[in-house]
This record gives sequence, structure tokens and C-alpha cells, in this order.
Amino acid sequence: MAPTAARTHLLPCSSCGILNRRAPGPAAAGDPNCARCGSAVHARKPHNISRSLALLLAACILYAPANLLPILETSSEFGSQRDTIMSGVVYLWTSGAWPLAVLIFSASILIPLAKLLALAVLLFSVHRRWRRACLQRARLYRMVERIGRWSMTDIFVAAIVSTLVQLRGVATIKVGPGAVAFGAVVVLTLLATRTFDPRLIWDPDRGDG
Amino acid sequence: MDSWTSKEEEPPPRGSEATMPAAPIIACPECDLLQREPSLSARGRVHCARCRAFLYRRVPGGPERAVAYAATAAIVFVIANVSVMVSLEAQGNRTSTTLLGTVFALREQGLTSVALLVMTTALMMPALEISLTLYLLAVLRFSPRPRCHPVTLRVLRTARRWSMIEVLVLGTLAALARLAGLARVELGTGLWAFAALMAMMAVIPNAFDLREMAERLTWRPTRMGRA
Repeated sequence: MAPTAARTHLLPCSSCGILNRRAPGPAAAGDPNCARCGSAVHARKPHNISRSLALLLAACILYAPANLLPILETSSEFGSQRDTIMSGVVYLWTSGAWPLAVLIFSASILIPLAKLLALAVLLFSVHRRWRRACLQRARLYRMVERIGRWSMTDIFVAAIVSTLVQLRGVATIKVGPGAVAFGAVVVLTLLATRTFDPRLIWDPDRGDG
Repeated sequence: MDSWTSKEEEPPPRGSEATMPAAPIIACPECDLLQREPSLSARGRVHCARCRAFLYRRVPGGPERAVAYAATAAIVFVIANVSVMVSLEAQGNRTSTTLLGTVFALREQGLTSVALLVMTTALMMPALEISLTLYLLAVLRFSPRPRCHPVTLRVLRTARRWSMIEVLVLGTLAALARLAGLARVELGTGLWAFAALMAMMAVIPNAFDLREMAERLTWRPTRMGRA
């Protein structure tokens, strides 16, 4: 059985990294504090599965309006047009800007969807205390952590485009309500990733003591 | 850059003291495995023996490199925020914007939440990251060394996670590419400065390891954690 901090009654401080000794037996009331820097220390992030799941569910719910509501509203002399994320990608693709279409598609559709799925799989596997594929799941978690921020790309694109295209009499572009929902999805999934404790992946590994 | 691997090691010897500041044993923050630190001569990135998570980086030499990077980042940050990022010209109309201009434009469109999100990730968190990095590096210089509050490290970790300069640069370039077919677009000094800031933010962690910093700082005395 692999020696872990939890199995040897040690509490690593997430702030300064030191190992604190924990008295065996029932836990004392309240969070113990790190002996070096005084931060509250926990063996595992408190309530991490339920918190992460709640954030993930909220993100799933908001994923629908994020994709159905317009993210850019264009009005010009040729009339007005409302673009959702997907119709924006299609517009870019058909107008020949396919590298840009691929970029926006990956950042705004593929990454959020992959993140929701990956987090759901991770939460389910941890809840069922899977013992298999620990390393693969740890890598999956790290990938989710690393790529998550890139879904903010479209928010910045919409913000810059709408600020620049304020040409009186020619065309104006406004950011639509879809951006609010999309931004919320990005923030919620980032928080859900942060709340999840990857140490739970390894806890059932080789017989939990 | 050599990564370190090892066989899983035995649990630490049980002592009577509450903490083990000198013990060369660390717990992986991502899988909780206890393992010995590699010998002091090792350089580069240290990874967990079991889950391969990045543990910390051995930074050779003193903090001079980190000071240089962080000071450059601070100067470039100011330039990036006061100068025009991009401008657009079509049929005699000309518009240009700074980052803050974008934030205000979003607010005027009634999207305060999006404006706040852009301001937090592109402006406030990078500012916090740079200033806290400089603050901690300055603290190391003082003698007697002032005591640090543990919240500084926590806030710095959070700021690193939420500062998204590189995403802002990509998004701005994508916006330009999108508009390039419709109007004449120009890259401003601000965008170049943001690109330089992106590079600085990427190299700061190479010269400034948070874990090493935590070891060298003096912490404010706190009541001993009972447990």
C-alpha cells in the first residue's frame, strides 16, 4: 500500500507545503491550523464532491443558454444579424476563415463540452471509488485544469469586436446575452475543477486502509 | 531540465514533534503520496513519482532573475494598459480601444458581468500577481525579515490561476483576424506590450517557485494547530 499523508496521519498544508502531524482518533472540532503558517489544513478539500458537482450542474444548465442565445448582435445598413457561438463558427467557416473557425470551435464548443464530460466522469469515478486507470484519470484532471482557461477566448473576441465596431452609419456590433451565460459556464467549470480534489482518485488505490 | 522519479519510499519515521520542517519528505498535492525530495544537486522540475504531477522547480541562483522578470512585467503592464491595443478604420470612421476602454464599452452595453469578468482576468489578477510577486521578493531582501501572512501565498496562487493574459492576446488576435476582411485593422503598442507581458508572466514561475518561497519566508506566529 502506497504511503500517503492521510494514511500516516499527516496533514499537508496547501498554502506552504509543510506536513503537520495529526493526532489519531476522532477529529477535533474545527479545522486544525498549519503549525508553520497558520492556514487551515484539511486532509482533503472539504465537501469537494458535492461542491464540485453543484458547480458542474449549474454549468450544465447554463450551457444551453450559452449556446442558444446570441453572443454578437450586428446591425448595419444591410439589416441586423444575431450570431450564436455556433452560427459565428459557421459564418467564419463559410467566409473562408477556417483556421479562425477551428480555433473558436475548439475554444468555445469543444473545450467546454470536454470539460463538462471529463469532470462528470471524474466525479462519478471518485464517487464509485474506482481503482482502475488512476494515472489516466490524474492526467485527465490535469488536462482539464490546463485547457480550461482557453474557453475565455470567445469572451475576449466578442468584447474587442463589439468595442471596435461602433461605426456610425456603417455597422455596430453589440455583445449579446449569450456572452453572460457563456462567461458563467467558463467561470463555473473553472471553479468546479478547482473544487475537485484529485487526491480522491488515488485514495482507493491498492486497498484503502 | 531533468525530471526526477523514484520508487515509492517508506513512510516517514514517527517523531514526537508536531511538525517536521527539516524532513526531506513531501506529500504530493495531487495524489498525497509521501516521497523523499531529490538530492540538492538536482535542478529543474520535480514531478511526483506516482501521479507525475508537477511538484516544484529548483531555481538555481538567487532571486535576481525573478526580480528582473517581475519588474519588467510591471513596466510592460503599465504600458499595455495605457496604450491603444487595436484600432479599426472603415469608410472614414476610426475606432480604437485600450483594455479598459473595452471594459467600459461592455458596461455601457449593459453587460456589467462580462465587463467584470474581462476586468478581473485581464487586469486585476495580473496586477495582483505582479505586485504580490514583487512584494514577496522585496520581503526576502529586508533584514530583519518581516513576517508574512499566509494569505499572501494563497492569493498569489489564486491570482496565477485567474490571470489570463495569454488568452486575451489570442482573443484579440482572433478578433483582428475576424475584422480584417471588413475593415482596415491596426495593431497598437498596447497589443505588443500585452504580448511581452504574456512572455514575462510565462517565465516568472521559472525563476520564482512558490514552494521554495514558502520555505524562505518568515511566517507570522499563529496559535499552534491542535490536532
